[in-house]
Amino acid sequence: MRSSRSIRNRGRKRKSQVFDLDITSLLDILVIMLVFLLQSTNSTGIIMTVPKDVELPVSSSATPSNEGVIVQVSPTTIWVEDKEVLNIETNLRTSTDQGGRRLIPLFNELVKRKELIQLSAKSSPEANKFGGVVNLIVDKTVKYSFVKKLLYTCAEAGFKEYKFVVMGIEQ
Amino acid sequence: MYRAPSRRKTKKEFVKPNLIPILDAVFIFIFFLLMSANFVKIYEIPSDVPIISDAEPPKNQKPLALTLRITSSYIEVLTGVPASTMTRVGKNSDGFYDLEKLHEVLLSLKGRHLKEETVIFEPIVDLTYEDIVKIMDATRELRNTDPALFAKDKDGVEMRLKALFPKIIFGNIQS
Repeated sequence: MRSSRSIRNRGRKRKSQVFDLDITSLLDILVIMLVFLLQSTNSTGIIMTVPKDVELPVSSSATPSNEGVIVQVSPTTIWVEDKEVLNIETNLRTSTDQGGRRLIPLFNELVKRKELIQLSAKSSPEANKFGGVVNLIVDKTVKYSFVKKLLYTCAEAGFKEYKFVVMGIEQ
Repeated sequence: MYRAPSRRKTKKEFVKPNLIPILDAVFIFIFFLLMSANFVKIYEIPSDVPIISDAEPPKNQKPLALTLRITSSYIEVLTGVPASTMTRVGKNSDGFYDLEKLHEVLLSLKGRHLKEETVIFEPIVDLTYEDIVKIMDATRELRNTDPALFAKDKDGVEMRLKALFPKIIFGNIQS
């Protein structure tokens, strides 16, 4: 008490201590995270939804995905751009024509999508033109006899390029 | 009593850069990248719709017309027009098609027909989609261990080939 009131200490101002946080380690983590995310980011801008029931086959292909109409096929259901078009288990027999080769609901939906793309391309010069590409997200257990029907239906609907979507081998 | 005046020590002030705006930007960047990150690597295998053409093939060149007919016990490699069997690739001890042997056969064919890129698939047996993808991989890809193949491009410069037969067409989708 006495010492603080002494003449020697009167001129001194008490400095308030500023809490100085050391963020060097935080910055290190952020930089590492940034590099990792930059490496794993999807630069194509295409978002593909793989349904819960669909397990993609593994392939050594390294061709990146392209833009196109997305058809998802599980052992029980067919979707076009996440919209269910056919339940294979219950409606397959009544939903085919041309000797069982063409899947009618899938054909109708694909034609609708094609016309929609063509219409938007006409109305706006900046809109994507119809490229005739169909991305096929097919479960690995689906048999070739059914894949054949899919390919035939897509071709009939005016799609001239198939892209089989696969899972890359981890490198 | 006389005392010498104290010397005030001049402290060097360290100039700290203001990292707050940088950190803000980095945080926003990380959230953006987290949203667009693709943790599962998804690729594609391209294939074209088969087209029947009336046009005659060029007279100087004999078309390879490479066809893989997949049966329940073997893969038949057919070439030429009309198609004739070149070889048959059976199954290995695992009970699956010997894809290594198939790859070797196709590699030797590619060595003789460097500009050919198309292969026609004709699965007769009802394979699973996964098995078809495996056969497509053996047909499409040139591996790092394969001997280097070079072909002349349009300008006459020799370029190393990156793929075996990358253009796959399913020939029997109408059947």
